[in-house]
Amino acid sequence: MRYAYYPGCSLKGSAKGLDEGVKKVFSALGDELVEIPDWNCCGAFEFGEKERILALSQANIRKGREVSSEIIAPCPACLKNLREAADSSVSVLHPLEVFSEASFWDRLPMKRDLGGRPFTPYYGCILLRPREFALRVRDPMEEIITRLGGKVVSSQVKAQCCGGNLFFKELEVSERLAKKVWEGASGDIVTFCPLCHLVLKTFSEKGRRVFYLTDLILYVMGEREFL
Amino acid sequence: MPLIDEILDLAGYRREDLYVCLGCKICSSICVLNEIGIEANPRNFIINLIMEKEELRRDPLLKYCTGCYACTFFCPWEIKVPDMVRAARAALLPSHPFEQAFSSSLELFGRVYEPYLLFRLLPYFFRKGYLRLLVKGLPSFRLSLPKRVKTEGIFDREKK
Repeated sequence: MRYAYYPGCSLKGSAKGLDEGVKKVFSALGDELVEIPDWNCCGAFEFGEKERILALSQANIRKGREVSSEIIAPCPACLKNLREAADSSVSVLHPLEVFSEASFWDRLPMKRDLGGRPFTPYYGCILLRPREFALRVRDPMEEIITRLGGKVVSSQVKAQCCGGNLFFKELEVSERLAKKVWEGASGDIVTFCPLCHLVLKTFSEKGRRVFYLTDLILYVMGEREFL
Repeated sequence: MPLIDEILDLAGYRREDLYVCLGCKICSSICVLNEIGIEANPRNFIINLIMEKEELRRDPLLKYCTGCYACTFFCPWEIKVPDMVRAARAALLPSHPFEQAFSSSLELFGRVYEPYLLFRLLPYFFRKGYLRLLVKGLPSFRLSLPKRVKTEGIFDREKK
């Protein structure tokens, strides 16, 4: 399957690990991710003007359509903005939706498992809300962690806000929200959002870590030595 | 133009979209800010907006709404309060240094180029104590050369 790939700004910078992870998993599945030429920023949540946000993503949809009618967007903010701007000529997908297809497990080369290690799945806000742009599959991270041989713990914090959007504006509020997530979680946290990763890592306690879900998959595939 | 029209226009909403609010306050009970001691009340925000009350300018949501859409998720009408908060911010508050740097990066490169953001925000980050935090929190920092993407003129309006 050939997908148009919209990495978004974070994945081209600080969330490089997620970018590489997504690409490696898709390539192991035998799918092709073709980066959309000249994609532009989706505007994230920094503009109050709806029209401008839509215009940015409509441009990306136009560029993406040239590559494939299925666009993959791993970053939750990009996913929401693209879905809001998409028309019926394209479908905008999140990697978790592809990983939830039944064929995923037939195609994924597994060399080892997670050995029962506990992980807290953490979706954050935008992958789950608002409903019309949210993930179209239920509990994909729980399913994947379990099938990779890990143990899902503390799933009640999965939708609680980490305050990521306030990180660069109201640091102290963002810190309190992130620490509340850590209080509710146990063991290490697994996320799919670059901003959640940044904020949770920044305010993590000693010895507790944040992973991208793709890190876990890469470890099981034998593409990554340590976790 | 009255304030409410300006804000609704920015958010792409009509007055009728707000009139459906039942006043049930589910949004207020669910807002995550209340859990950390900030009294946030999305329902009051909607009412102050409709009534064009001056209190709107002092609403804690203007400053602290994280845009998590929990209020929307539980609202019987799924009113997107965060969209309106963002529009109200744009209409009422001076733009934040982060927003300025963000917009300026989009104008220059068509994307958010992190080294440029860091450069622009260095004095702000230094003053607010971010630098130590970013060393811990950033998993990687890619110093690639920026690329100017073809933007089909969508950023032109920024230069007005």
